[in-house]
Amino acid sequence: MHTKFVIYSAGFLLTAFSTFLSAQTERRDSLVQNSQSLFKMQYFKEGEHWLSTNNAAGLSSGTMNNYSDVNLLYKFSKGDFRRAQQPNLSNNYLFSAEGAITMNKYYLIGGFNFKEAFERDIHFTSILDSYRGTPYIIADSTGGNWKKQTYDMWVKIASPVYFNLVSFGIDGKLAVGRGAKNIDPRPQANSNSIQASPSFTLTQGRQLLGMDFSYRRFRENSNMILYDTGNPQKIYFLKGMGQYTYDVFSTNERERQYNGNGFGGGAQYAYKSDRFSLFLNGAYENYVEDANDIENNKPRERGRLYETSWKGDLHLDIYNKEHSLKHTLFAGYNSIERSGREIIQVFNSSSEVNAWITDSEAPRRSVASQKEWKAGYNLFLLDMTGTSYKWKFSLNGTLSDYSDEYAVMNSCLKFKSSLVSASALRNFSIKKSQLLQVGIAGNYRSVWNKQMQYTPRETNDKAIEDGLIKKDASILTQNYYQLQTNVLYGYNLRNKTCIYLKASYMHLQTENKLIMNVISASVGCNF
Amino acid sequence: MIRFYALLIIMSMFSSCREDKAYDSAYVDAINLHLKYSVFGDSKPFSTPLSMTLTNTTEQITYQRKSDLWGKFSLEGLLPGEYTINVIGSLTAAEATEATGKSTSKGANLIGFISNVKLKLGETESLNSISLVIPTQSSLIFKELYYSGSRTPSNGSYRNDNFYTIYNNSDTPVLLNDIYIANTENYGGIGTAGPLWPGETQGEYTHVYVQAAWKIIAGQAPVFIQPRQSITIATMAAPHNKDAQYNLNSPVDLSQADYEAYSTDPSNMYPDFPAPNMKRAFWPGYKDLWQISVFGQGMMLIQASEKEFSEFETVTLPESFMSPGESEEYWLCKKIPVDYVIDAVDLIKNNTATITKRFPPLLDSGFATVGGTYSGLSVIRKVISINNGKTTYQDSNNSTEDFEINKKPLSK
Repeated sequence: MHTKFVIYSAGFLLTAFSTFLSAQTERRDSLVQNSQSLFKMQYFKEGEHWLSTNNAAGLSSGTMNNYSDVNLLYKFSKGDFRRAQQPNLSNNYLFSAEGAITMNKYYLIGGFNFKEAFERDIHFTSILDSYRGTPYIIADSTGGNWKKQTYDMWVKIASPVYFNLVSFGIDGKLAVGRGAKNIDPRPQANSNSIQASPSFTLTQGRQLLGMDFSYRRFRENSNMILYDTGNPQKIYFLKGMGQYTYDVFSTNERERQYNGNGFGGGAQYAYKSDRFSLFLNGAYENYVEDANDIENNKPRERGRLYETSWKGDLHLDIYNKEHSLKHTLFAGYNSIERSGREIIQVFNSSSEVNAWITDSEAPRRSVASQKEWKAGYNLFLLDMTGTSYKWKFSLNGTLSDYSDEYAVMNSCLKFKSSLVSASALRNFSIKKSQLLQVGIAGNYRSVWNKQMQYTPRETNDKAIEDGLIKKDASILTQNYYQLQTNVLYGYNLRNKTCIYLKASYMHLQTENKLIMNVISASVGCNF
Repeated sequence: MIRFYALLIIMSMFSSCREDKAYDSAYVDAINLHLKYSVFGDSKPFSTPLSMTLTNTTEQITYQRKSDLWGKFSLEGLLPGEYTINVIGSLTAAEATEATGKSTSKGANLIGFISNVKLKLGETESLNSISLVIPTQSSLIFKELYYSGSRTPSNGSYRNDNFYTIYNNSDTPVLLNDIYIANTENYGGIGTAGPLWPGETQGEYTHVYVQAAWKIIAGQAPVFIQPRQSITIATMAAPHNKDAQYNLNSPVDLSQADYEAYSTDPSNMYPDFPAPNMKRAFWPGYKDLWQISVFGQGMMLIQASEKEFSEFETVTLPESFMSPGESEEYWLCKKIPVDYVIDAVDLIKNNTATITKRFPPLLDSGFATVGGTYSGLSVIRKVISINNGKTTYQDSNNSTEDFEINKKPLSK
């Protein structure tokens, strides 16, 4: 695992560094940048819809903006509005490098992120991301502080359009994470994931038709270690919706392994004219992940997660060049369904076998789904260049339908919710050499049709019922409002490099006076 | 490139079939079961319904069911998994006389037991191999067992204060000189089934496999235990909760224990306390203290002469079960026929860890547990009656029914 980690890390650094250098070279050679390259980059990333798909080939039909950006960010969050498997306080340090370059008519865009997080008071988990979808998590009752490191890299490469007809692309993502808790029982988790999505687009005049196919592989190992074997710890093998079996962990080590593979695909249609552009995207993925344990050096299958996701987006961008306006309308639908199949294994203690063998399987024990309908409107007041904006106003709404069920134990949590958000952002240019950005946003979330049932597994142990399930239900079904503001100040150096400082603050408060505050500050360089 | 795309398309089409397809029902098919004992349940009804406890060891769920007076059960709503099933019933004195053909003035218990029953979705199970028997009862029984240890004032773990109380549940004195106290092996992982010993059938063992055995009376002079009297055997007969060098948080002072399992191993740094020492009869891997697991192990009383005991076969665990790090002696066990066991209590980790039971139902069709470690709790037999100062403890050979948790060990 350590060797893999080193290889992945080296790969990340090498790729990120080479992209960085390439971008620098290209900038000196051919790019003419205006004094607002930072705002231009932001506008490009907000308006290039192909970036939000796995189809990199489509980028060849866009503006192919070139940029480089390096950023160092500190983020602090604290509050009691948090789910049980989330921290009540976290300190995050993030380094990111990102760049885009056109090289021999190929367009490359990619980035590298490194994050170190110190997270306090996390309960009921032994994996890096408790909310990534698996219901099969080993939880302990002690909780504790976690230290996590994640490295991830992404890259998109688009070929030129051949014969005015077809272009090809590849989208790749690589992520490595590791983390550990510092109190018995101590999970030490390592994860890695890789995704590759080849794609193509067909061009016919103003129209584009694109398709992509994706493969995703995920691995995570969580070694649970007990330093003080004289103090056995109760652990819970969560199976979904607070249902579990339990054990008393008294030996030095046990291991949980997750192995997942996903296949998917997407299709896109785009139309672009001087007056408006239309972008349609649909994506599908089928992902299966096995959860296995190593108990007393013997492998034991626990469960299998089936995850199916659908996504559909429609973007309509309308340009009014006379008034330097751009209107964008957006509608989208996301659906994800997760089903947990429990593997019932029995221990065959004959000397010939002496291993866990599968006796039967219990399908669809844990069934969770989340559906979202989204719509939004953005108004951009563009500046004279037309490649960045002075004002942006946004109004967005999301309707969600959440369901998590473990039917054979009469346990479920269901609710519907809406989230309405409005934001305004102003970009200023001061004396051509200085930039200022001020943004403000507000959200309001309301929840209705709440339904909660829970059948405890043990009447004399309320840890999971009170600490995890009831707390989770309480947090997830809160109405809340959220306010956020951010300020950015940038200074353009003579070589057209922009040094900038950014600060943001977010405050969230629920109907029950639970709060969460997030403060972040970053320094960056854009060129 | 075209081949690559074609391969991905084929893989995507193939992967779209990966669905978690459900059965019609999440529960196993209903099971109808008819249990009889002699004429009862057949030509005559039982006077009281039979009770059944089904423990799904996979799901750690326990179901309770009752029969009708003809011993018929209809078992519905069971989740798939591996089960241990316990049945208990009772016969009046008249019914016992009719059923056995032997005149008796006492009623009798009926027990039935089966383990490793695998119930699957979509498959019909008959469970016809459960049969009811009247368990044998002995005069000497375990009254109280304290094995889980306690916490120290600094929240450390302490397990030197184990003790076992043996009681004469009859009206006649019992000679102690041929009585051994012993524990079963606990090989394998905690929470997993033990090894299947060669020549045995799971759940129907004809022998018990003893890891350590002590002859309670070391000498030859006859020692009797009087009717309704008990003796206490200590792992270490120390004033545990009276002396800070032991554990002031321990629930017991064992300085007045009747016997001590004193180990002569050089690693034993503890003094030899005044309580008479038992004789180590079998303990190949002996060390400083005789301590069973804080998660529990099978405990038994064996009645055998010294000659008989010495002739019991010593066997070693099949090599495929052995794990590294233990000496050869660790894997040696005394193989003792169940006929020599006069009382047995399966101590297990918790109510659903029944898969770890070691004793066949003939010896103990249930289990006893304090459900935790270092809890300072013991298990103690339930009292059936107290007549003229004579206490009679329940002994149905089903420890689940016979024992309860004692929050103040050695207080009763």
